[in-house]
Amino acid sequence: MKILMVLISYILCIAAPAFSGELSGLDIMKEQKKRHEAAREYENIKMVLVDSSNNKETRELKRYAKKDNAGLFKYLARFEGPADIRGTALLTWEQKDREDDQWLYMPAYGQKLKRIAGGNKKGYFMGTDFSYEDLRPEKLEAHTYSVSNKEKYDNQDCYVIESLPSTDDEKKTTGYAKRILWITTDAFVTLKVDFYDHSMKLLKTQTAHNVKPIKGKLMRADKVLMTHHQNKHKTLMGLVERKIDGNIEDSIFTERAVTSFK
Amino acid sequence: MEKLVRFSYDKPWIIILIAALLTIALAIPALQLKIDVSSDRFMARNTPEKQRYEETKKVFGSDILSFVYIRDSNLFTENKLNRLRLMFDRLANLKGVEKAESLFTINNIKGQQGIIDTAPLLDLIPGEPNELLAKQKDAVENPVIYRNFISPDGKSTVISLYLSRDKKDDKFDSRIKKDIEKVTNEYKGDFQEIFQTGAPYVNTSMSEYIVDDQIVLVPVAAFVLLFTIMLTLGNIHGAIVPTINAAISIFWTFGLMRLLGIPINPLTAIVPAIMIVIGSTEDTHMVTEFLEATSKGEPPREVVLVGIGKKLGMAFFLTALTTVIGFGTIAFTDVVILQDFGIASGIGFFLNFFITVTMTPVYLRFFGKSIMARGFHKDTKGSKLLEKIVHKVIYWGYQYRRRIIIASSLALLISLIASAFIYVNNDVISYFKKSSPIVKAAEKMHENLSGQNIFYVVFEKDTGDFKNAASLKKIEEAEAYLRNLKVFDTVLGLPDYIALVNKGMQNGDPAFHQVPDSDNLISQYLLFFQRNDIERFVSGDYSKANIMVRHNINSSTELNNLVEKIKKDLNSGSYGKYADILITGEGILIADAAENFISGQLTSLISTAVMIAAIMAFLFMSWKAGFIVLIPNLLPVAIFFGLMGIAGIPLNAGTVMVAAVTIGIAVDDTTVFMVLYNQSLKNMAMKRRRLKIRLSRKLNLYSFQASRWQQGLEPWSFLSSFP
Repeated sequence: MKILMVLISYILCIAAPAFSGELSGLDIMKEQKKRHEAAREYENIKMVLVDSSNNKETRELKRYAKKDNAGLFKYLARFEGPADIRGTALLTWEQKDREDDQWLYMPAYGQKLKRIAGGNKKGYFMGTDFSYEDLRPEKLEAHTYSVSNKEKYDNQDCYVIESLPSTDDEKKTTGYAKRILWITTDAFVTLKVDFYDHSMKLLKTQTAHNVKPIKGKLMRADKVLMTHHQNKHKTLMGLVERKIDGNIEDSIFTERAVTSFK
Repeated sequence: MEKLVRFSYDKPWIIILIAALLTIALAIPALQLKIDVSSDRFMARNTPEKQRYEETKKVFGSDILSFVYIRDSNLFTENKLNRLRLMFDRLANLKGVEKAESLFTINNIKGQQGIIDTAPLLDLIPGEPNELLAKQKDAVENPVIYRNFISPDGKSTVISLYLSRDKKDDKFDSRIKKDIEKVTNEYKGDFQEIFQTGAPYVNTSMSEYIVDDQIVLVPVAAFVLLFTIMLTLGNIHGAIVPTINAAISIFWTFGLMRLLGIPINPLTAIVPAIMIVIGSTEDTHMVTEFLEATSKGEPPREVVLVGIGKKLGMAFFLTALTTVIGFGTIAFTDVVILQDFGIASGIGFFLNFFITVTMTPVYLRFFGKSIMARGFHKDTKGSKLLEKIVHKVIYWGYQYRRRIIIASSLALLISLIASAFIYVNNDVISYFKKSSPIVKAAEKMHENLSGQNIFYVVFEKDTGDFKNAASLKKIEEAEAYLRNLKVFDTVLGLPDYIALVNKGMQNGDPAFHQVPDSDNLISQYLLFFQRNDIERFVSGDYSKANIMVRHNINSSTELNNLVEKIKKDLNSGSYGKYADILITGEGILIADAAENFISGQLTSLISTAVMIAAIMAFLFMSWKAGFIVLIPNLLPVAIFFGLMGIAGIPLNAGTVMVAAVTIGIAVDDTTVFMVLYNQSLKNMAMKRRRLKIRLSRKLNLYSFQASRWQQGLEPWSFLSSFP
């Protein structure tokens, strides 16, 4: 018994410094945001939607993001193809203390934007498996993050972080009761996310592929796959072109620019 | 026959050994016999229609659903809705649930004051009463939600669970029913009314009823039968012999059923009772013959070998042959449940015949003296009364034969006319009494929401065609046509979703609740939906569009007629030109299989009639004799159908068997009657006098045979599951 007590004390003494040196979940998320957030970003994406019968639907999308002086982002996602949806766009203005403002533009509907009611961030973006909340920046203040494990994923050492909604508003409005994130220990890149619904059933899995350094420590994946387990549906976003911190005019995020697209 | 009887009497231990070995060999499969009342068995197997139905399910998903119905006058309050959501989440996560839909998942696409809202109706449950009332109003006003998920008064809702049934899992239905029940029981106190219904619930309830009925039916039928035998024969052995033989044959039949993959279902469940009743005929004949002959001082062995083996052997063989073939021919229909019954009953009667002619001599060998010691039946009160009645009947029959022929012909004519009014019904629900909870649940669903019966109308064109305005407008017209028939509860298709977005984009203006004219606008509207939202209504390549129809039509005849009419109208060209229009669903296939009842019935009746006629024609060397014999056989069947037509009793998988059973009994008696008549003709010069003496004795037997039938089957009228 005595020997056992000594052994436990020894292990605790040895192990304690190792744990104390570890980053917390929030630290990791903060570090990730610091490294990988870009103030201006443009992406040309090819999107493939695959249903359970292996029917494929291909879309081309251009996505613009720009941080304003208040630190809030504006986004524009516009379909370039196929021809029947070309020009259809979703404009999002991030808001600080309320739901984001969103407008939809459908060329076949007319030369005006249609405002989308707030509060549906768990709604799916244009028929894909990505919900609106998946496409916005991570809201660190609305979640708790805890490191549950460290393990290899895709041959890379990763922190396994459990993220739970922490504010009442987030708990009410999010589509996820829990997310598990695999973030690389060296570059702080998210390689995989498991999304759980409110009954704690695995809903979706997002995986990042061909992760490359873009600028300094900033890294991006060339391909992102979202698998919706419950709907047996997948959305693959593959990069065609990307520009980080290039020149993006503020006017691109206005009604006039969106509706005058040809 | 004679040799078999002789062998059994002379070598009883060999027969006992064989019987014991076979019983042991069949014990394991017999005890593993399964109950399967899944609706699959009510359909035809491996038909092109079934194949297309399976293919349709692959594209548009399962039409096998469990429903949880909830009603509360304060349904739209925060507390009730929160409880409802908790229950929904748990139900959605049950094993076997492919997809779950409720007020919490269905998108409430609506537009007002320049804003479009695409969130599910109860994505967030509001706390304020006025907001909750607004949600209730939204639900009732949304054509996609109305009657699909909310009752017109806004107080009833339903959780629809689309199930993916693993065909190898024969306990799926009972498991999912139990799982659902477990969850709903926990929320019973939260709502004024909550119950489940749908295919697994109905099927499992039917299984439970079958088991319950068997526990009652078989002993009661056996008891009534044995009581009657005791009463008329006054000899306990007359009751013991058929009991032993029936028990062995039922056990062997169960074993073989299991080995052949035939389960207990609503029809095969009645095989044991039929075997007890029909199977006892020969046993009783044999014991009576033994008692009769030995009472005259004839040695027991001679009685068995000559009286039974020689004299009755031919009659028994022909009776068994006609019964086995009569019931066996039912197996040549396409409907699985009828095939099961045909095979099971055919096997049962064959085994019963075999066991009777082998085991009865063995019994007589060991207990012959005891039987003789107890004496003959003629001393009992019951038998004396029966004898009097039989003598009267024979007298009347001979005295008033012309009148009887005229009356019978008249009855036949009336019956044939009345039988034209019979309608066919193959719906599972029709097996339950109107007062049963299953029927009540189905009625409540139909009254407040939509019937639990579903079928699909699938239109096929080229890839991408159902993204076009012109094609979708035609589907919209087809939907309007189906609604205008005013016989269905809800009709839902892709145009309803597109129309809803169109209306929403125009600030809720009802004038825009229609498919727009622009192809591009439709493509852009489709971006509002995830594939999951519309997968039940359009294929992934947009080459097939599906209209989902919910209804509460339980009559197969009515449904078949409707389907024919719809097919004809939709194919007229007014609703567009298509590569194919398919109307399918489990209910459609079940209703379609009902047509097989008539053909199956006719096949069975004709084959039995032809066989009896041929046998009798051969026996008497006269076709006329063969024809005359058909009259007493077919007359009760015709009267039975006539009465069904007059009383409005549907022809279903249950009632269809009554005709088979009727002819089975008639054949039984007729064959023995005619064989003995033939022997009498050959042996006796004074045929009329001799016939009267001989037949009076045999008819005595038939009369209690008939009364046993009536009494044996009487308990059925009180059963839970059979109409």
